[in-house]
Amino acid sequence: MEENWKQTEETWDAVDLPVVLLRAEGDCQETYENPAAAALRNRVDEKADSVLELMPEEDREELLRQVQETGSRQAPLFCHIGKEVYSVTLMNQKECCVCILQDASQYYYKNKNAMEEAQLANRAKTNFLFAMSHDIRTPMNAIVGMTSIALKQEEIQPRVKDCLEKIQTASEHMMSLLNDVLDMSRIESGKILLQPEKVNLADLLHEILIVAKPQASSKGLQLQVLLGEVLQEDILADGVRIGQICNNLLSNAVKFTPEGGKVELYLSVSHRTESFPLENGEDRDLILTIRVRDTGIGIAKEFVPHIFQPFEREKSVTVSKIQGTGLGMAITRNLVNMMNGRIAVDSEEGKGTCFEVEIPVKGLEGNQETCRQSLQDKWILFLDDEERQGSAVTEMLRSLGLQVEWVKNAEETVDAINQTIFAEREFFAFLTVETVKGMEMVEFLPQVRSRMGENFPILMLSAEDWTQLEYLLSRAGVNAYIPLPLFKSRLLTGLYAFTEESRQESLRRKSMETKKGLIDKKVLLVEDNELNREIAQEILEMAEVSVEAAENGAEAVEKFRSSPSYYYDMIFMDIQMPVMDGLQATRAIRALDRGDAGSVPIVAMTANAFLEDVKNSLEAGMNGHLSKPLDMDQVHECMKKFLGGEG
Amino acid sequence: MRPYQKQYVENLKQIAELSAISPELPGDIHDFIKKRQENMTRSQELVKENTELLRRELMPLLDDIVSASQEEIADLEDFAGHLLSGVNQLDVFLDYIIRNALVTYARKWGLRDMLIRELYHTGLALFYLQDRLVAAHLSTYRWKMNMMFGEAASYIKKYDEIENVEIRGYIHRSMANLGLSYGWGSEEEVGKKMDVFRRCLDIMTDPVYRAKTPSLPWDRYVYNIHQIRSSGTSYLKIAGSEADPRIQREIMESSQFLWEHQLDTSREKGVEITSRWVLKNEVTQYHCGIRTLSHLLTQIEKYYMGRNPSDYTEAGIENNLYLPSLYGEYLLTDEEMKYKKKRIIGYMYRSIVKYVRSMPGNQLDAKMLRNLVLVMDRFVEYPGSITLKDFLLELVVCRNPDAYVNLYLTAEISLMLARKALEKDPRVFLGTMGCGTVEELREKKEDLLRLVYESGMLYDVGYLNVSTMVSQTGRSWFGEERKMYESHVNSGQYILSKCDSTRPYMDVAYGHHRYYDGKGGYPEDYVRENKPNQPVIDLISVVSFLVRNIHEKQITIHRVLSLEKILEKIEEGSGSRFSPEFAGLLCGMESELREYLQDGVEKAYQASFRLLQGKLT
Repeated sequence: MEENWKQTEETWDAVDLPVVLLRAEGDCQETYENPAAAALRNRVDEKADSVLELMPEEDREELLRQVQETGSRQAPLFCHIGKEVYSVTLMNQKECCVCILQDASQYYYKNKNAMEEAQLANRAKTNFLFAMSHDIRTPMNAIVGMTSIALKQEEIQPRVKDCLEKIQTASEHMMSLLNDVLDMSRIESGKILLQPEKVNLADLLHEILIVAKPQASSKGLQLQVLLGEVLQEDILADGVRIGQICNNLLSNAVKFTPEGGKVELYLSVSHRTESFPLENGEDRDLILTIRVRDTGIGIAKEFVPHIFQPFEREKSVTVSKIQGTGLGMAITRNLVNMMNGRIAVDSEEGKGTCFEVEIPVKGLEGNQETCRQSLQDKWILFLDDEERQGSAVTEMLRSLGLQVEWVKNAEETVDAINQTIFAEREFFAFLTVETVKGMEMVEFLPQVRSRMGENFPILMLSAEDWTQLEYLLSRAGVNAYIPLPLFKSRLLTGLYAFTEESRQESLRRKSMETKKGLIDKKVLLVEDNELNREIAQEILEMAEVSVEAAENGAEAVEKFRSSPSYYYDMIFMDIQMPVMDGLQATRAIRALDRGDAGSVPIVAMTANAFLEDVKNSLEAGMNGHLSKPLDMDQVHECMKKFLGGEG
Repeated sequence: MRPYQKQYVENLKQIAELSAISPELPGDIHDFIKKRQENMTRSQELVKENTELLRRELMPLLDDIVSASQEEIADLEDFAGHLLSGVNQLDVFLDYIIRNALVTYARKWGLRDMLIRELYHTGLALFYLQDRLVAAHLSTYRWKMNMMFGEAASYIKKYDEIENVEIRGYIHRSMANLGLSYGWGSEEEVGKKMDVFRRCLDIMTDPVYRAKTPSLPWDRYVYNIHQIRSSGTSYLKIAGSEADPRIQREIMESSQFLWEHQLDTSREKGVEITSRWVLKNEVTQYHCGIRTLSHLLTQIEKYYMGRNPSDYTEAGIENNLYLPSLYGEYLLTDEEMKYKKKRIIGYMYRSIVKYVRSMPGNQLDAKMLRNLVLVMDRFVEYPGSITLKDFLLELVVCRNPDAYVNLYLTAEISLMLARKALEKDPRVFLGTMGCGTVEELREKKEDLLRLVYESGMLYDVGYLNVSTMVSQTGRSWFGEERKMYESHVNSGQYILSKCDSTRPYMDVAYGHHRYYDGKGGYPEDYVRENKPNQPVIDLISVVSFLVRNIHEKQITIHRVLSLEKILEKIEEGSGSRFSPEFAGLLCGMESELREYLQDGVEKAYQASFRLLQGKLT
């Protein structure tokens, strides 16, 4: 072996360029320098032990890193020694690495200047684009807004309408281009700073879908949302930027997927794995995975490495006239990098593309223990004919401590309800999906409502926009809606809202709100029946108003007449009473000559709830009508209406 | 009842009389057609009047049922009671609508007893509606019926608060009726069914309940439950050795209960126990492993051989037709027996043909038709022997002459159209019977024409299952009734799917109402693609449209149009509703059709009556 070394050294002794030999392994210690290298060392610093010592630490570390690297080296290596810059050529031999140094000072400084100039120009371009985009955006807002107003006008001529719609489409596109340019400029100029805050995944998804759903449906695409493992629904992250990443990926998928295709969004929050380990001191213990898969045109193999470069667009895309700046993916990658995340793409031309983003996030504990406890062991009747979703929801309900009977059609649902005839078990609520094959829900749900009674909670799971369905379904008997894909927190709070605890809580809240505005108000209660009077008085006093009572209409008129002006804030008046009925008494009060006679609110209390009774009481001068038996909520609502109070 | 309600019921009865064909075969066919025309005119007047009565008097009341007076409600209950009372089903659907409204009323005003009673009656109406769909294998009303019976039954928890004995009775009956909605087809359903009956029996035999309401007919309730439970042998037949032992034991117990009850009754009356009961007992014993299949079949043979082949009484019809259907049912379950007993079942079928064709006078007996349908349902077919197709064509379809006329006309006109198509453009049949070229079609011309003709004769066989419903509806139809009527394509397909001889026609039965472009008609799940004989289905589709506008098989519905108008409609529907090729060819045959139709209907009736008289056409 020593023979070999000797031969090598003799070879390099004769070379004019400085050459040093380094051990290829371990500490890369210098084992030889040729005379030219020794001359260089002595010239720069004769006290130095090796040429490597003459280099700044950064350059030395890079040199040693490349020496240890066995694969092919791509970037040229420049090292500073004294005032000169040497280009270093590395040659790996069996046990050593030969470093040949060549003075490249002239070339290096010339190019360095050019690079700095280019960087300056690029920065100027970025600033210019930023300023320009910003300035253009203001008038663009006006164009978009005014077009929208113009389109809402009635009787627009068809030709004008057509032009306006085209202006709208074009200006919306231009706005999206400007936004992309602005974002890219902000990222490049370091103006974007991440703002980690508590983000609820369900809310985040809701926001994302508000944008993505109409995009997909207007293009005739099926948008499917899949939820993987969600260890924590609340995370610490920059929700706005994560939303932007998702929207960029989704709008890209929609853009490049032909009509009739499918776009799939997958989200999960899982533990960090070995491939993405937790670094020392890092508290971001979870990984948020976002996957967007489409059945679109795909990306050519050769273009995949360029997909994240700014302004890069595949030729086939430009040929097919799909609009875009080519900035979307670059922005996405930059945002992911800022979050220390990773982005990967897998695509096959003609078959589709899948982008996967992994972002480290910190999980935050939710606080829903009260809800869980209230629902513990309650029975839920759950209807869903879809196997995978049904099984996932059932499992989720069980994990929340609920008992579930999962049924798959109308007959099984009725069977389950009928089973309660023989068993002690009672269902707490009926949870159903929106559509089940072979079932007409708007026919079925009212039957369940009739059977189970007015107070039985019927909740619907739906991925659709609830506002579009609410009118029909609430009339069919549905009390509440829980959005799909299903998050534990939504399910839990959705069900909890129907528990006795929640009802009490909301009553307390309502009562507090009512009381706030009603304290010190004076109410005159006119009722001949002693028992009814007592009940009404109790209900009124619960709102902390001060109640005075009269036993008939004549007594009420007298009390009102003899009180100072504006003494009573409100009067509750029975209709049928001895001596003087409520209608007569109201007419008498309204006829009094005093400031508050016309303004004091008088509300009728009667069991006769037919339309003509209401009409008569209004004609007599009453302001409203309450049906007997009095309902506490109704009475409080009524007082709030006439006497104010929060709510 | 209010006067309009009385009038409505009276009109329904009249319509039923007018639509019933006299059991005696007519002497003169012209008189028969003339009389039918008069009946049709009168029926349609009554239908119109009934519809008006409901629109004017009943519907406004139902629209605001919660404001109805107590008298109005009492009259409504009485009216509903006349529309459906036991087996007397004058207007089941209207009964259902009224009962449903009464449930709403009872709920609104918190009338608990009335609610229980009306829930029971609504459930019952739904049961009869569902019963009409059984042959089509649809379960449209099952969940609703269960919901009604279930809610009424749930008042068992408030039994002591309910003092009215009649209402307590409704609770028990509703509870037992919960078991009616489950079939004997699957282990799961049978499990639920038996579960319901077990719980009912527990309550009905509980001395505490009996003491609480001693005046209820407890023994009759118990008997009824055993009676339903004993028919669980059909489950045991399917499940075989896999049957749940507990269910098997319970079915056996119920059968034993009934057997002993029948023995006592026979002893009391001093008469011999009927063959039906003996065989019922034998069937249970076989399914419970006490007897062998061979023994059971021998017993059926024994009773069959002891029948009187000229007995057309109810018992005679049962022995001559029901026993072969029972025999067939068991042969279908055992391949070995099926071939061992080939000669015996063949003999039974030949005897049936003889028996039916020799029936004197009263050819249109409903019981006869019902039993023939039963034989058809359990038909055992062997190569070279009498086939289900022959059985249907020669014995069954002619038993509804009005419907037969439509089949006959469709078959004849289809044949004319097929000949025309083969002559002008045979390519329209490419693909039929696997023929890929015109030459192949020419080679198989005779087979193709037979296929077309028989498709015309069999495409509407499912109508047998809805004809009663159609004839009973003496007013305009509700949307749901229309859907129920549409189920005839399901039952037609089911009947024809059973045997090799009829299977080639099942697609035409299922698809003849579906539009050519797939955008209309029914059933929605019918897919044209890959149907081996789709051109024949397209042909029958357009011809059957023509025929049902020429001759209405149901006299309460008036749809007869002139030939000119019909062809105009066919032309309009060409390419969307009908195949453009066949629509075009048919429209070009106006003069031939006109000539044929001069006496076509008359000939069709004659053909039907000839078959009923036992003469083959």
